[in-house]
Amino acid sequence: MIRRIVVALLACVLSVDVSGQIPQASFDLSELRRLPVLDGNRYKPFDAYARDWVTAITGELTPKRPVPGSAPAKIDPLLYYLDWMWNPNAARAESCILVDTPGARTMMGLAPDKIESQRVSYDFLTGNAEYNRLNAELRRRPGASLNKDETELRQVTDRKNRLGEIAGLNPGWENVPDEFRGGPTFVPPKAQPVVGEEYHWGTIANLPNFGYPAEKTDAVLAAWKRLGTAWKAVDAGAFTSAAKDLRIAVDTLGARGYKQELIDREVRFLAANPFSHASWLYTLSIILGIVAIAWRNRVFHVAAVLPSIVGLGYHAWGLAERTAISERAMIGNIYESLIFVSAVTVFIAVVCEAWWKSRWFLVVGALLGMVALKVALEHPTFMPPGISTLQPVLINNFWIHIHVPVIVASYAPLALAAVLANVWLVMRTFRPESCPQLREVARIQSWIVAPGVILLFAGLILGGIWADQSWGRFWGWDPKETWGLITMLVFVIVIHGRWVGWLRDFGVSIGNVLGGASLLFTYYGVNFFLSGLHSYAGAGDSAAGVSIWQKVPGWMWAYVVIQIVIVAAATIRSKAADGGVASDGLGRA
Amino acid sequence: MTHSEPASPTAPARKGGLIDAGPGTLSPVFAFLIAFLAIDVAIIVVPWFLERAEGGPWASPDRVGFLAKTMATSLAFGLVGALGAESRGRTPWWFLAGHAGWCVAVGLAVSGTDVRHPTESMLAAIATGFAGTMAALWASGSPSATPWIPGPATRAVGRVTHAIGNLWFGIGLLVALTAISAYGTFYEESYGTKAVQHAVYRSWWFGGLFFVTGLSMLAATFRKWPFRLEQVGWLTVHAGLATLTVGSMMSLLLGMEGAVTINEGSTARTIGLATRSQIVVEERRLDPDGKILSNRLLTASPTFDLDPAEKEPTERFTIRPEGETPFDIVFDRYYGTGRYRQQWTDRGERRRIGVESEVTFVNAGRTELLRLDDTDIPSTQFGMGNFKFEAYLLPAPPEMFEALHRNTPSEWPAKVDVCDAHGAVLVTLDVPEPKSGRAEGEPSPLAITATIPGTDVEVALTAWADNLAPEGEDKTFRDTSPGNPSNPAVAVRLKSSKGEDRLNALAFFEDEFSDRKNPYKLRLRAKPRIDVPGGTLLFVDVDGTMKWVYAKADGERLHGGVVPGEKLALPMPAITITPTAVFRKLAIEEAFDFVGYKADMQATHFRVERDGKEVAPSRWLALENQELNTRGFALGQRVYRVSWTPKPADLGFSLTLTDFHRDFYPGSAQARTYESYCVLKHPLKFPNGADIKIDMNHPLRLDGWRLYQARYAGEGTTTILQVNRDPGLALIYPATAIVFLGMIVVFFMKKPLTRLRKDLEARGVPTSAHVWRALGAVVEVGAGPVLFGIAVAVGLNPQGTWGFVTGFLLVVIAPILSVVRWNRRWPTPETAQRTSA
Repeated sequence: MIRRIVVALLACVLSVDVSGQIPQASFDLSELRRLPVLDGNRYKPFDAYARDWVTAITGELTPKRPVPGSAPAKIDPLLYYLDWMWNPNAARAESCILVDTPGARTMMGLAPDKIESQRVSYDFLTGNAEYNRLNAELRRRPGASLNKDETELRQVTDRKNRLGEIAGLNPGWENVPDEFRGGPTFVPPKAQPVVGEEYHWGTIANLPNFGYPAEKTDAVLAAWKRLGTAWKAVDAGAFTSAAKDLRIAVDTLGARGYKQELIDREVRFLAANPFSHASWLYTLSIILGIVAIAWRNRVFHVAAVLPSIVGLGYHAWGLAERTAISERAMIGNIYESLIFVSAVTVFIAVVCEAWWKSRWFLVVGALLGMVALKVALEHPTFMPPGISTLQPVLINNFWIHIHVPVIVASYAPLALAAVLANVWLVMRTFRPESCPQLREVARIQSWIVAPGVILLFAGLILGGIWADQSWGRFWGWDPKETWGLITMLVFVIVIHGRWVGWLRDFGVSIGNVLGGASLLFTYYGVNFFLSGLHSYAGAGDSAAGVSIWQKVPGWMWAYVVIQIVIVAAATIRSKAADGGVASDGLGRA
Repeated sequence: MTHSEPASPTAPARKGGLIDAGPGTLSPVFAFLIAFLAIDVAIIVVPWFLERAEGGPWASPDRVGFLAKTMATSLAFGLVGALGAESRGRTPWWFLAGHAGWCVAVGLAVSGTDVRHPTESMLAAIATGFAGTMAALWASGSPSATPWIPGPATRAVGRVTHAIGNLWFGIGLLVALTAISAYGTFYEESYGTKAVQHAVYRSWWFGGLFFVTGLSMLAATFRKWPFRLEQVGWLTVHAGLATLTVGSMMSLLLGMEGAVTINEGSTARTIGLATRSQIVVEERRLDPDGKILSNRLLTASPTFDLDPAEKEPTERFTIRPEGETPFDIVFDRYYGTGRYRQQWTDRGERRRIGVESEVTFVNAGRTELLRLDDTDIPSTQFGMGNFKFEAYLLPAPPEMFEALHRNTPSEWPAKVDVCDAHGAVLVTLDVPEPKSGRAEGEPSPLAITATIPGTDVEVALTAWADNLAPEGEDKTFRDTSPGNPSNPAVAVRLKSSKGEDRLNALAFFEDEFSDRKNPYKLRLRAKPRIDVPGGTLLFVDVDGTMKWVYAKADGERLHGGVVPGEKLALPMPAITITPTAVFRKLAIEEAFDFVGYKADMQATHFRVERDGKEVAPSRWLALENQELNTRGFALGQRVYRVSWTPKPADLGFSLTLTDFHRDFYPGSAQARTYESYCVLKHPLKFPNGADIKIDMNHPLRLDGWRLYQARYAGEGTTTILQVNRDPGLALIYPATAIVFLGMIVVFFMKKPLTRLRKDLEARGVPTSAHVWRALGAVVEVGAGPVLFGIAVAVGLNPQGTWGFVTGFLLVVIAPILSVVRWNRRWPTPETAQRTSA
């Protein structure tokens, strides 16, 4: 049976491979992938650029292209991009633009719950009178006054305009000859970047105005034309040679500022997809680990540890690569911090497993790591995975590179403690408190809180030092730092309660569940519900008239309900076992 | 440390060498320390909270600093005196003698002497405390024959302070602090940072709760007396937290936070506080020399901006100008975030032309209002990315409008008509194309003459100017922009037997000398083409009709009439411009709309009242806006000015911004760094001025102030520096290091330390050895981090990979190694044997 699971998992991993469904699917895109593009403040390979834009439009990391008469088929983002660019008439009719909220769909007159309403075409939007009227109205309103669906409608417009830029459909492109419409900003201007001045790259249409010598301009234009012709004629050989010539011709334009080796490295990194692989390995680890615990089987235990360690290796390599490519630590946004915190969680779990010899650590750690990775990878519209640049205050500062890893590293053991507390409570519902496995889980959750509190305290202080250096104050009661303190106080209260005998295993578990909730709010809630210095740009909309409760997503309610159910069930069972008296807490000191 | 002395029937019971006043009480020395600490802090803090709004002497950093220092020394003297006395069987109430310096200090503060003679006051307080301690020690020089027994008063103090250290009470306080902090973050979400700081985090009750928590923790620590060796980690944490509490109190009482905005070329000597604002009312008068004199009538810190939930406050300030009936200024609105609104109407009294258009950036999906008028704003730049245009509004005669939208080159020759008084042409002269490549100011010389038929008047054209300077005060004929015929003119000389006359013939305007006595009029008929930079949109008021001209980058000109509601036919597909209204008698009315409670663009509205009746037009003020924070009004014959600014605090030095600099990310307008180049002048340290640079990671530190590069304003010529002064940090940093260290010992070294104690006890080692071993353990764990902390404190700021590696080794690896070492060493085989025996 385990074999079957392994086979199924491997099949899942392998099925991530894209299957084109377009005649050009077999083309060699390797030269085009490494073509440098300047977009979003950063030099990136065409591959990454195409991924960013296609993800932004479709809302999917591996987009599925609608195929008439059958299920949508997965397609390489770069292929999809090229197809849109050179086949604009198909692009404008294709239902690829995401409309994410049912409310926004209703506003455009679509059925809110139908699968077909999830994605619409460029032509649909330009021809939809109601959408255009709303759009014109929303344009006049400040961003802060928009509700969730209105914000989504603006997002749809942004997606539509992006598609229009790729395929050359937006107003303004009609004056440009067909073969030069749309496309990426891969053409550098003749002037080199000057410190203190804005600097942009253009599309192929801008090239003739950039003032390069005619032979250089012509070489690029000719290669571009050949590339387009080869694409349309489905001529793989001609395409490969044209792509090579294009890259060389662009290179001779002599732009500086980017490093080709970093661009190539990013292409390799994107192809390797380490975080996705790591999440599958962690899943395998969880399954084997549960088997090992349930049947107390040493072989399964070893088999469970191995995939986690390999996954962690993949994960760490991915972190190192991404850090090297972005030339900064992974601290920019919630996507990066989730990837980082999941790696630290698994690492700490593996270390604790080795140190304290309890099999629970690995299962819980791998579970947390897998969930965090999945959350990061499955929400590209909410957490774009593309590498971005940092706000000025975050750059070149020694302390941020210490503060963020330490604080994030503290989340890992505290989250482990919270999950272990849940495990304890669930087990308590079915087993007596004296059961050895319950004792073990209770013991290890108290152990793991200690390094968590120390790290959290250190992280808060390091954050204070950093804030002191960049914002000019050590402690300012900013929501994020206040909630960090609250989380620490919750765990400190639990520790004191245990020391004075006020709380025993049951009370400590409930306390750690509360600490976990506070941690989740510190990590996630503060950034999205409370505006402050730590809000991630763009996500912290303080829409007028939208109450805090309306901003809470469904999964958070689910989390709260599940926690209440777990605690209630354990409380009822433990009271029943003790003849109506809770085993500790306020009942018995 | 652990062995207690056998209690003799006459001597009181002792615990760990200190008098034990019985169960449920603290030992008198500890009890006095906690009790007097609470009282002393209250004496400092209560007046501070009462006076902080108006900045009275009890809220000044000098007095708070004086009292805090004397309090610390007095408590220390009191402790020494009490310990000395009670160890010899005398009363520990000798604490009061050592603590007497505090009474002197409070007396000096009440009389104000501490401000006038700071050094002498400090010496007096310390000397009193010293004398008191000496007296205590002298009095207890010999052991008392009848040992002192704790009385009811001592036991009462002991019981109360013991109760403060109750762990339930302590945990309750922690829960309260947690809950209030959490509530504060949601209050902040609704009402903003400024409001929550005032209502919660900097309020007297939150500070009080914080202090009581610290006090409770201290009492809880003393309850554990006598301490055991393995409690050293716990003691370290609590000592650190006590220091942290003191540091936080200092930050609250002595800290200052604000910002300073400096324009390039200007100088700042004060900062604006973030927490309080200030209202200033002045009377403004012109003195006989034309200089403006202002006479300050009111300076006050208002409270209407502290509670943003109250949008319609009523705060009244009575103004008493000299020799004038007093009047009231009443603030009746406060919006945390207000949106400035300008209403353009045609209800003005004078002719003032304006045009209002909607500019839509099609791809970005955004619409902005473009407003131009012919007086205030000469031009507005609009656009994004590669689509940029400049817009102007100007009145012009039809000939000029034609020259603006003309698509063909200027036509030559131009013609000069000499007409009689009725306009009939008498003679016409041709003007050839002027010389090109002239220097600025230099007209093109002409030598063309003709005679008016039937007279002896000789007409001579002497010079041509493409752009005759409009003012022409010196009457010289200058060409301000040769090659760009924006005001073409010909210099004409009329000569006859009666004399000579010099006039100018203008192409766009009436002959400027047409009211002269000579009977001739001149007209220049030219068909020039005015240079207009590509990407310029001109709204032209042609004799009462609004028209537009757009100059494309390739030189082509487009033009048309302005009809409100109709889109201009511009060759910019990504931008549409739709004029919405044209004004002839433009009047601009200002107002603010309520947007939110959070202090962002704070706005207030005031009325001017005398005997409850409005006597002047009411106005709006905006705190954060340099133009909207001051408004004037006239009352009777006098003019007054009201301004609303952040409350200023004096820096003690001056900063002059010489240059502000931004650096961008490639491919965007997102700034990567900001740098301010300043000249710093300090009366003592830099009397001649020093050139300094303040950037994102290099603040200026001087006299306890720290100035950080925070933001910028405008087009990058104005810098905004965040300013901060926090004397508490000197305690907070070491305190946090101590807590951190203690936590490591608590969590990871309790077991080996317990085994060590048992081993020492089994071997009968004296108490002092316990103390030294305990301290040794903490020092060993803390050596690495402390070394690193000292390195940072003395200015060796760690940077880059090597800084990271060194820090990692010292702060992380070194403590882990010593923790591991301790855990491996204890128990050793022998100790295990001994302790189990």
